[in-house]
Amino acid sequence: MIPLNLEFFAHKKGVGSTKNGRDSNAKSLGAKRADGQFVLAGNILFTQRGTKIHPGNNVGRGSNDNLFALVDGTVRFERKGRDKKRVSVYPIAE
Amino acid sequence: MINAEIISNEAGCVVGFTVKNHGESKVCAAVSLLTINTVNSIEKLTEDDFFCSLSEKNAFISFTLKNTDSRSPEIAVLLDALVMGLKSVEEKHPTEISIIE
Repeated sequence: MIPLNLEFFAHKKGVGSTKNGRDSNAKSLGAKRADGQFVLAGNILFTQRGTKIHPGNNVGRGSNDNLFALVDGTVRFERKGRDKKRVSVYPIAE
Repeated sequence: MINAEIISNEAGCVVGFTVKNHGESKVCAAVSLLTINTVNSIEKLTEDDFFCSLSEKNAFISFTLKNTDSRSPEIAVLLDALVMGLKSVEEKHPTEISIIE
């Protein structure tokens, strides 16, 4: 027996639209230099939103929270307190 | 628009039908009821064997008697009643259903 369905020949209901399905472009945040790497003043060390990593010695923080070297030297990622991190640049001894 | 094709044997007796495609709600309900009820009635009320295939997703029903040479009186009444019903729907809603014989 075929179940009686009065909408058997009806236009199938269109699939509802979704309010989701949008996304922004990837921003490739994160480390741009490795620990122990030599950098020049002005090189960007870390791109972030907020202070995932804090600026340490000889490192500045831009308006977009990016961290950059203030002097030429070697990069060091260090701990800051119990649960924070920071990045510093130490000039190479002459 | 719903397309209905009536299948007859050499003697001109209706021995099957194919109904497909979508229609406007009232017409769709009428055609759905006529075709599904005819198939169910033949299955329940007669002894004749038949082939039936259907797809709700594609809005398609096909029905054919196994023995197309002769029809029992009950089958004749049910199939002729179906054709009469489909024609009356077509008469009222010519743009919604088309019958091919």
